[in-house]
Amino acid sequence: MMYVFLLIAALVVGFFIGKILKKSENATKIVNSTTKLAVIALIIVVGSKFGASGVFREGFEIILRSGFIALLSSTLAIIISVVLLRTLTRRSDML
Amino acid sequence: MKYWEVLIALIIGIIIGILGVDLSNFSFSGFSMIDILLVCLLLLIGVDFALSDVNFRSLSKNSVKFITILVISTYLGAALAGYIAVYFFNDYYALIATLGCGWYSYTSATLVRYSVYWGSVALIANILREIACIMLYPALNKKLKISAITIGGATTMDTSFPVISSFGGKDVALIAFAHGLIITLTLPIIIETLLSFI
Repeated sequence: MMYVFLLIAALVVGFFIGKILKKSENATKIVNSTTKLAVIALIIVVGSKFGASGVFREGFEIILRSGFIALLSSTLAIIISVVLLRTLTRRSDML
Repeated sequence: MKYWEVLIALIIGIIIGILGVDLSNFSFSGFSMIDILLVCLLLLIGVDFALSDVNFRSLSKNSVKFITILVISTYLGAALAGYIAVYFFNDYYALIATLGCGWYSYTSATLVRYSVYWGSVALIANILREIACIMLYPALNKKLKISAITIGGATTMDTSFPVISSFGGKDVALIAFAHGLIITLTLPIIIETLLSFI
């Protein structure tokens, strides 16, 4: 649970840093490129763990399961939202 | 971010791993590399949100209702899909992979600490979900312009946002951004809480 607080604290601290920073095109550009770098670094680290573990030998099974999960979660999310929007807003034009 | 960049990063990481270097083993004062990078990523998301020009005061009551319904639908869809995935694959980590809601960097990095296999599944599944949103939203937009936002999950505030705003219009774009933002803010809490029970 401590980890959750650490992550939330990071978000909140980031938000306040952003409020202190002056809104400018440069600041947004720097933040966007740094975020991109952090994501790339994270993927490289995850990939290295993946490569070192030898799990990649089960590549096809991983892709198959990933596809199944992605398809199922997106389809169910759309179906549920259509049902909820139709029931709760009673507007068939806003689906 | 472009897909080829993600793919190249993943291939570089896998090659480093095959060469025998597991970068996640590096740690600084008790925090692993993944922990540090995740904290940095969330810090940057916080800064990015504060710097964005979005004015939530312009949201109408109806829009708030739509956003609430969409967030609930995204999580319910993911939870139901997770339940089915757990039934088929007999592993509770499948639930975490489905709950990623398109946020592949966070979900995979978090899950890889527990299971490398499911961390990899989470990475690819959530990248596929992001691609699905970008590719399918223009087609689904005519009949399901609001409910199709749920495919994107957390990505509707960043990578899939331009597609949604150009095909769905200004009102839908604001709903999509708020939806993505709420998912981004709540997802770490939900995933970490669930992981503490598994």
